[in-house]
Amino acid sequence: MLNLIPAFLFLFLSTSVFAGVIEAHFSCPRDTAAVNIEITFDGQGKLQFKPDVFSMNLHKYELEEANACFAQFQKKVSEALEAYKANNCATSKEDFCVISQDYLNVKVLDKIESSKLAKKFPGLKLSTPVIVISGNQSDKPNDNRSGPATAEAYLQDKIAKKEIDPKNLSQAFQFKNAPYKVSDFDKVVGENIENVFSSMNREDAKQYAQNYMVAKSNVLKATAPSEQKTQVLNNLNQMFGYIYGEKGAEELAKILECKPEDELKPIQDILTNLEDTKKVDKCKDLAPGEHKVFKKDSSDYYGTGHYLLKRTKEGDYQAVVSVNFKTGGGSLPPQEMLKRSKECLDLASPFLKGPDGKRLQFSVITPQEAQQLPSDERPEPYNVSIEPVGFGTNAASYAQDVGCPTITHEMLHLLGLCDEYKEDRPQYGNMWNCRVVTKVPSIMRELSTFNQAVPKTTTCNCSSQTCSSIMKGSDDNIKKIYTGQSGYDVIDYKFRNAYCKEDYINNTSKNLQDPSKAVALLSNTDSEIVLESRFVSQTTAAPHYKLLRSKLTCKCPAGDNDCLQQKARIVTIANQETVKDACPSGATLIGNSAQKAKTGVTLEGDVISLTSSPKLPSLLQPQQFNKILAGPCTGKGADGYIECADFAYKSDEKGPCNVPEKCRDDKYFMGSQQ
Amino acid sequence: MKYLILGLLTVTSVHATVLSQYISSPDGSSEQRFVLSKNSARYEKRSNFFDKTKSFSLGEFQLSNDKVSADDMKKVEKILSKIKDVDQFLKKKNSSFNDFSAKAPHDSFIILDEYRVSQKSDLYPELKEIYDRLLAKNWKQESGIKLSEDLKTLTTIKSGKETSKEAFNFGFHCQKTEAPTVCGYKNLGILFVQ
Repeated sequence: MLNLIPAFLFLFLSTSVFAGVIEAHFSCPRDTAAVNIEITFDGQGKLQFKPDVFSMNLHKYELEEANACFAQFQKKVSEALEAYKANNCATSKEDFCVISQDYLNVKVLDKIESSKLAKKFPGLKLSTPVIVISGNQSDKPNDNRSGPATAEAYLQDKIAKKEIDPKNLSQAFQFKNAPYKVSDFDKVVGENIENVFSSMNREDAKQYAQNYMVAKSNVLKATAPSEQKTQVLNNLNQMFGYIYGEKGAEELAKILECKPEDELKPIQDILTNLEDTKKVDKCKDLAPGEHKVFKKDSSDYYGTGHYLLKRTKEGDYQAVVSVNFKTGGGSLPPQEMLKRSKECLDLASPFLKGPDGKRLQFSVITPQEAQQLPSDERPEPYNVSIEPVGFGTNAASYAQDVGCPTITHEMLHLLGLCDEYKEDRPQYGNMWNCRVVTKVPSIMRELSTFNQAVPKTTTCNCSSQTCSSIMKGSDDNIKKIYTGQSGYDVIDYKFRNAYCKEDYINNTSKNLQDPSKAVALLSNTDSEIVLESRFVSQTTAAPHYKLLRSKLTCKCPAGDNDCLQQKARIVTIANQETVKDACPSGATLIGNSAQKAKTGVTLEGDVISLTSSPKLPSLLQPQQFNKILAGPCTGKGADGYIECADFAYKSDEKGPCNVPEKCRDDKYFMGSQQ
Repeated sequence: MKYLILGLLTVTSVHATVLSQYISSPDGSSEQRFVLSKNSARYEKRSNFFDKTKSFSLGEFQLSNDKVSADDMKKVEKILSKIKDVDQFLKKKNSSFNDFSAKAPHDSFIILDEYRVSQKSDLYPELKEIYDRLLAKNWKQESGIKLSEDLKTLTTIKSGKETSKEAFNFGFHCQKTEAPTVCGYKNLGILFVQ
């Protein structure tokens, strides 16, 4: 065995490499025999030499010979590592591929210093690795095999190498066979707050802070002061600072009153001046021929979406969103949903009118189409999946049978409009009970508003005996009943189920009240309405139809203002002459299109066209329209909207949510009704 | 004193934790609630949206020859305890746990008692797993309604027994005159029928 030592001390090193092992082949001048040494890391991260040359006894060498040999050894090991990396590390991330040359030098040095060789030659002038010379110990790579390295240092190293994302507080990792999570290391979390928050909007930042608080719930609960608690609170103060602006925690209570005049600064504004410039741009009024691209604003959950807003030379507006429809659980191809969405917005657009008569053309394009726009006009894309029939459509997922009213509602979310429907059932945790529920017609509260505002022409095949008999006959009353809106069309199914009952009327159809109406108002008291709904049913015998009638009685419980408001709306519609927006019984749909003719019903051959009339001057209320033009900017005729819509997704199980009373007034929230 | 202790014990024993999932859309909101206590579990079904196998039933259900695992109950209580600690901390700053929950229009989320756990919460995966395990259990309907598969007959159920059957007035109860559509019955919830 002693022969090995001279072999080591005067290296003639050649290396061959294989995964995880550097193999050094060497010999020394005093000895002719050569030997292979395998260099590896053990499970504890310590360097191993096999055979263990550093533990051998040395008798016959002088100090100078030993010095020269160690220096040469270190040099050769470095060369061996270099060769190993060149041959093995193109895709591998195993031990020798991720460590640096300096790191290996340190390890070799550690090994030599702790060996019998060092004791035998205390005057050894060991070659000192670069990182030790620099004196910057923090440059020393942290590795789980390193004795002095800690789990914290290991995490910092992994974050630096982008192998662990500090955004993911629950990310688990192992260090020296012990499990850890990112959130276990408050110092590391603190060091990364600025980095993490710079890429988040305020909503995500709040969720991140909540995740951190949950991970630290035991610390927050503890009453005794501790170093850890101080670190956690410091981190939270920093997070609150980014979330709520420069004043940080002091602003927290104030901001939570949800007042936009708090002028929350978006996170980007704090970090970069660039965004300040953009913000000024986006708040400038557009002159004809100008445009701007809004981005979802981190200062407000729903302040605005990603969209391009252009002003035409005529002074009207165009809003463009980019949507990437993707196959989800549904079977409808994405291009079909895109086509439908485009058609729906085309239908709606002529009726998106502002208080000054300006129009808004609302369009959806694909990300590929967006790429064809000039680079400064491209809105960021949204992803929308296509789901099966019955799926609860939301802004990110559409049921495949979704219709134009819902598509328009969801697309308007992408322009920054909020929900306005009531959502305060106590059994579900007072969900969004702070939301201000509007009363004026609004598609963000009531989908039927779409059909009230957007007239359309429904074309139907009328060759069936029933349709033909009625439409080519001489009874104008039955024609109007056949093509007019029935009680089911006028009263939403949810309202029917909650407040109404239906009784069929079996007696004669002679002497009908309002004989030409498909729905007749029989009585109207403070809390109850009674309607007669009339339907045409197909029969085989001439005249191939039969008039059916039912009595719909709807009663609002005392104090149910929502019910009373809907009741009033039903009364208004029941008093109007209406046209169905679907084919009547016995007729089959040929197609729907934007309003093509005058309101009413026409018959050409075997084709009937039902053209409904708009019941509303616009699909948007004034401040909704202004909000789309304003984005997150105040002073643009949408301040009431911005203030009141901010409560749309807030809840307070105990109190009135501090909603300003003026928000209950639709004139303040929505502007004077159009 | 003994009455105080008795009172506290009573309060403790009847405490129930509510775990539910909520989805909201302009077509209607869908929610399932599990009311869990140490000795019992109740499932309040307001929609068939979440059914693994579609069944047209709404109402309340109880476990039949099954129970909620003690392990799941412990996990839920532990999570709830953490949330309450955070909520307490934030309440002192005039804020709350819910204020820090991610919100987006119509995004589904889990509710644990009154606390909203969004999909971006680190607590969500574990709660969703528990929720899915609860949903997969063998629940027996105690009350509510059941619509036949042919959508023609509505059966009313009380105390676990069928008490009446009636023809289902599709036109009145449903949004459209034919499936696929959504239907309601009084205020029991929403049925997706197809």
